[in-house]
Amino acid sequence: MTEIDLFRKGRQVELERTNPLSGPAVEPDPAWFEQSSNEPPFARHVHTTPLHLVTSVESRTNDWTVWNGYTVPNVHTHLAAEYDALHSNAGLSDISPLVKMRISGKEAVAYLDHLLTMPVGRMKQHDTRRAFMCAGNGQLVTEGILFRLDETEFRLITRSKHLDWFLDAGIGFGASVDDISGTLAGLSLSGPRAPLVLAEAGLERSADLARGKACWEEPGRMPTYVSRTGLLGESQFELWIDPEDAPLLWNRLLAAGKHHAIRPVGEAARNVARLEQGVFLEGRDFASAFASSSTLVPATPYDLGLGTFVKLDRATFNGQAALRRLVTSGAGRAPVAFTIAGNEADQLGAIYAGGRKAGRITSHTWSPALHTHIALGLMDIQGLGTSGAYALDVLTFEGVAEKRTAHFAKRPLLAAGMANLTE
Amino acid sequence: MKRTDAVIIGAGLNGLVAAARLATAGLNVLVLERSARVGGAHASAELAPGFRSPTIALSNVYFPTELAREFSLASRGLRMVRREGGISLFEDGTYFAGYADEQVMRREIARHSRRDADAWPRFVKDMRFQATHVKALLLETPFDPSQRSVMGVRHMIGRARDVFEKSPQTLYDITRFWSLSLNDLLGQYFESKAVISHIAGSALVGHAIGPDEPTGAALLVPRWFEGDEGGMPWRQTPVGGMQALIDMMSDVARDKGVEIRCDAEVTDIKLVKMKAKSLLLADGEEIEAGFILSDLDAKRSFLNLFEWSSLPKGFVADISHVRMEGAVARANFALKEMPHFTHLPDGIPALSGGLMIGSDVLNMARAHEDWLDHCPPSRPMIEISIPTLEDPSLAPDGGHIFSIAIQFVPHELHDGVWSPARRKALMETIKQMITRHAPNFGECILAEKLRVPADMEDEMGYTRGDLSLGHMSLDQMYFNRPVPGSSAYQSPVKNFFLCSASTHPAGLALGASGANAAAEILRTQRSKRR
Amino acid sequence: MTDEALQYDAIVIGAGHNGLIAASYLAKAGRKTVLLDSSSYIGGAARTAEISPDYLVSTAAHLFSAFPRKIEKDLKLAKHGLIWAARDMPTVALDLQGRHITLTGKGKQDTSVMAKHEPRDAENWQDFSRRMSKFALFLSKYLGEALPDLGNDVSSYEGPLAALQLEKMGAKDLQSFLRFLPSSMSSVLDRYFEGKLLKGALALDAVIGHHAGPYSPGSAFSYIYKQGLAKLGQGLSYPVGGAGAFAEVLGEAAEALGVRIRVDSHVEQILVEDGKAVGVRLTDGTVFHAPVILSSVAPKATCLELVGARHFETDTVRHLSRIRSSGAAAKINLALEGLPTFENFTDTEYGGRLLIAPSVMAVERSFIAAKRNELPIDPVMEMVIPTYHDPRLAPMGHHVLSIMVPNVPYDVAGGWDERRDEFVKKVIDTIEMYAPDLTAKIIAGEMLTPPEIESKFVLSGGHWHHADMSFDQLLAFRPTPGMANYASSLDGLYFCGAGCHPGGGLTGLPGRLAAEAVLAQRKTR
Repeated sequence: MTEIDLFRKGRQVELERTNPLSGPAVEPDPAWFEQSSNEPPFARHVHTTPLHLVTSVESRTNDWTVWNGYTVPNVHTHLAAEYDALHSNAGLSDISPLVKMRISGKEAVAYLDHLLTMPVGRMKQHDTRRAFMCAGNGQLVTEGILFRLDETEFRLITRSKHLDWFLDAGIGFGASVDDISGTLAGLSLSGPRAPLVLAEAGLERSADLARGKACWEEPGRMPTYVSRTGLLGESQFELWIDPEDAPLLWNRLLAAGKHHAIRPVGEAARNVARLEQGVFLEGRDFASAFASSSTLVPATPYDLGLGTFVKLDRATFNGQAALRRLVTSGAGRAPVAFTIAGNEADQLGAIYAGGRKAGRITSHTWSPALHTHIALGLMDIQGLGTSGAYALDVLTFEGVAEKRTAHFAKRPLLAAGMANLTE
Repeated sequence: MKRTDAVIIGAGLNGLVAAARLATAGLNVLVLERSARVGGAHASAELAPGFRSPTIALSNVYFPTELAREFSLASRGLRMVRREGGISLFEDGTYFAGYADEQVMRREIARHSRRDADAWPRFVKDMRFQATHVKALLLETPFDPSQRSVMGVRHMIGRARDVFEKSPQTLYDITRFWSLSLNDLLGQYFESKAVISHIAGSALVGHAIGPDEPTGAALLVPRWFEGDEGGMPWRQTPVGGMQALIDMMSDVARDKGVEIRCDAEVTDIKLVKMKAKSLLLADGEEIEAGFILSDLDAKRSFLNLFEWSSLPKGFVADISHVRMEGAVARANFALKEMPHFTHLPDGIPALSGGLMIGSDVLNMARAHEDWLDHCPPSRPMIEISIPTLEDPSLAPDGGHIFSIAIQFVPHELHDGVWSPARRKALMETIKQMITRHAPNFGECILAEKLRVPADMEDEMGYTRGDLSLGHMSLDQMYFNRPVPGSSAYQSPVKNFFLCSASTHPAGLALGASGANAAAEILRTQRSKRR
Repeated sequence: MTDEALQYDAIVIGAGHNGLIAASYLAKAGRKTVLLDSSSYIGGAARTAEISPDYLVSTAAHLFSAFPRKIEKDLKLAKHGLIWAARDMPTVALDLQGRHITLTGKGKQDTSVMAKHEPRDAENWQDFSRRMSKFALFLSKYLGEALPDLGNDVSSYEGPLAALQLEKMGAKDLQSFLRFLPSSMSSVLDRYFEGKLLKGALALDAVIGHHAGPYSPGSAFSYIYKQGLAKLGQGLSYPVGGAGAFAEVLGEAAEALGVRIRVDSHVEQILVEDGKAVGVRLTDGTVFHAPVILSSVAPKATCLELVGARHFETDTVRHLSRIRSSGAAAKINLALEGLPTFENFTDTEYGGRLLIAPSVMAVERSFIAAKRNELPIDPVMEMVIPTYHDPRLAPMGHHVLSIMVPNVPYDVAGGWDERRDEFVKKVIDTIEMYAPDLTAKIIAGEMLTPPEIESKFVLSGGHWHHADMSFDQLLAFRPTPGMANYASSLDGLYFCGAGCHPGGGLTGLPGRLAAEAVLAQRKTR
């Protein structure tokens, strides 16, 4: 695609934005999102999502970040404003870089039971569930959300791609696995006014969805799968749609949300929000068991306090033997959250419990809502037992390295913080 | 008679590093080089007017940063140039390229297999794990389990425990990594022949090991000593080629007071009671030395410099059975312009990392089997390095140099010698292989030069033309290099040390053998004083 | 359908010699055991059949090198009729000029043989055989017993102790041991010997039955490993009646101990309930129940076909499907109207194990040909004339010749139907160079290609050892890490065939050790 084409395309979409409910369809371009098989990969280093044109229209900062190889907005306009939108009104984000797998076939359930730490069990059509899968050593391969589309068809949205693992895990099962990442765009709508925005955009049924449920909608005759899921809490919705329709849906939601002060929200604000929720994220707090990260280490579900998502006593599933051993040995780490006294910190390092090194902070941020610096980390179980003072290695923005007292916080941090404020 | 603390035979990189280290410690050091200039195989030569090509372009080099730091090479102007990826061109016109960035690499793999694209990070993770362990051993004297009994036992038990306590799976991974063939190990990650072939091929270049040969997988390791971008690691070469690095090291050595004498061939070493006493030069001069270090290969060191009967029984046999057998021929082409490769997209950056043709696993296995049988290769695997892509000053404007490694080429043929006709036929084969993918290759050639292993023995003194100074197969590595019992750079002859790549860590790290040998000498000297 | 009659304490699948031995040991310990086999006879690859009427031969496996005396005693095999027709058979490296090398494995005798034939190698022979014997002895300590399972129990591992044992070897020997481990047989042989014939024979010894050539790194270890196994046995031997008669003896011993042997019972499925193996179902629908199931079928096929991949974690499935089993051999059996005339043969030679392997390169070339799915130009082979020790196998004065040709491709280019005759002719022509009157004496013959060996003896890929005996598939890694202690990761399912430690060959060790593991791990029924 030449530069002029890009420009023309951008204009086209911008024109549509003024009239989101009609207008010509964007021409599909397979190389746009899904990789074409004959394209030399070095030729194009910027890989964009189907929403790139509409998000770039909104970008005032030109601040982008790379997620799973795709370029997505880090900040659209202003971090604080976007953060506020998530908290007070509604925020719209591009989550297309997530990995989407389709699992189907008459043994899809058996296959998923073998793959995931928790069996499909009594999941009904349009139910969703957090899903975790482990390697043979008990470490998480990836995490995500499982959707039951019907009796024999499931969709699994994960943070990282492991087609080889999915295929090998399917040996001996009458199920098929397809990577459909390139055929599906994702939008996240989050914030207290999100249901109102949905209703206004013609997605009335979704507005009433219970947490963890999903349904089909057809705003402007665009088939859309809406789920009330996500890591940002109660009022988050995720919308899954054909890449071609995605920009139209985006514009439609923005237009409908005008009265609700909707804002496009970038990854930076979303990250603050998920930290406030106390959610540990693959790729930020821990590495996939199969990833070659030089900074992060892998974690087991127990390390992350996800024991409730592991059902050990059932037919063989991946990680079963190792997880069983972990349960009996009791070894491992525990997820912890801290609020840290003092000003915003630049970097955080080791956790000390009773003067001893007992773990590491994995990610942290300044929380505008809590008016304090917050951090998530992984700690040795033994360290957890020591009562009293916790301290952290801190590097301030002035470049001073110091040890600061940290206070144990319950997750989600925000709910806890709010409670404190009202007291 | 001249007297000096230490004499080093051979001014290769290892010899120079050893010299500089010893001189730094205050020793009086003399380096003797047979030829007219330092550098050996790495020296550049003029191939055609204005074309300066390295005699031998090494594609896999790792120069430890520790050594660069030790001799402050950066302040002397040492710069490394990073070369991306490398490409394999296959018979059917498809190609596979390596990229340093993880996402780009995965996209490239996905062109061949979407499944394999996702297996890549797992492969990288495992390779890095193995590489970290090996890297830690490069700059130390190998642990010899047979030498220090009490210490040795403790050491072995400790090592074993370390490995087991980490994870039981680890031992299995390690065993597989060190015992499988390249083809088998890669097959445990990838299904695409193109992916397997390219990775295997680029690991094999320069070695006498076939893709199907057990223990070959260990050859993957050097590539992963550096690079943390998650893609195919960069290859680094010094700007100005290896010659530049050698020149810098000889400057360092001279500045530290080392005397480097060229055109000085050592013919004999005199022993007194199994102790090396002095050296005899070809011109009759005799030099007395406290220590003698040899930067020559193990065979030339022991079988040429000593009377065999003066060495212990069994040792001569051990040394003469070190497997040293050239497997690589080198062809250099001076080209008036870059030939057009029809199947490669324009501007592909991976070209600077080398272009392999005939690197299909099956083809490489066959070429290796022919080599075992001493047959000239009918369809060799070639790797074309194009140094002019990164350093245009090596050729006149627009010109390029193709420096080609041809594998596997036997030193000796089962039915005769490398006659001019045979050489011509080999060159023809190479040209045909390239022309198939770049039809105008023939028109671009200005000059060409072929060196079979026998030439490298004649011209540069590499025994059997083996540039790795002994096969880098597992039975000749670490405490088995050069021979069991002599892995600590010392030998049955007191005060005579080996500092060439015939010792640990061989070609895994440039200059490391020299550095380790010098360290070993300084250690013996210290313990003597005490 | 828990029919009382079909409820057992243990089910053993596959009545090969390992299955028979495992079942016998279990029955001996009082477990109610049933042994199921898909074919209509017992013994698996240990079988004696007619080439033509009145000419009997061990169809597949034809020599015993490492059958332990302990098993013979434990199962009272002599009482059930086991008689060795030959023991300590010599190995004869055939020479075209009649200067054969006959090695008996007895130090002094062999040294004098070497002194006569290859004087320059005599001295090194002594050194070589002493070292090999020492290494073999060291290794044999680990071959006759179960190895700790690396996968599950780290603390029990005795790796550090093994290191200690190694230290005891002494510096010089330890050095060469560590050198030999990753070496190729050819480089070891080059270090010690000059004589082409001796080197060829030793090279064939190292790689026979393996998918490897003498130039393959690791082949030196194969040699040590085989020597180690042999240390547990009683020398090269041949039972009266051949391998089949041996199987009959094992069968009788098993039945005497109370094993119920059921042939023509093809297990179609191993039944799993609640993550436990609970029984098997036959193709005819019959179901047997037992809390313990031992399979002497190759572990890969056992898990992925009989049980199903779904009952194993994906890492385990990956391990299992990675098991390499690519070596294959062909067998040719000839009925002869008299002894073929080999030049300079005495009684010793005729009664020995005859090797045609004129040089290391000849062995390597046959491996290269096999890798390329080609027939070897000059086949190398192992031969025995069993009738020389056991005349009853053939009519008076007549003989049978049992020929094993290693490194034969499973999928030969052009297909076996097309190339079968060419191959037989090649093998016979090769032997005729040593015994010119062979063809004249042939009355009948049969040839088993690798695919035929596979279907006849249910060996996947025609591989005698169920899995290549390479370093990563031996010892505590056999069949896969985490399953090395004969117990699979599926509760109740055990392995007892050549696919587990210490591997293939007529040793009975996998069977015995598996039964012992079951008895130790399941103290109660």
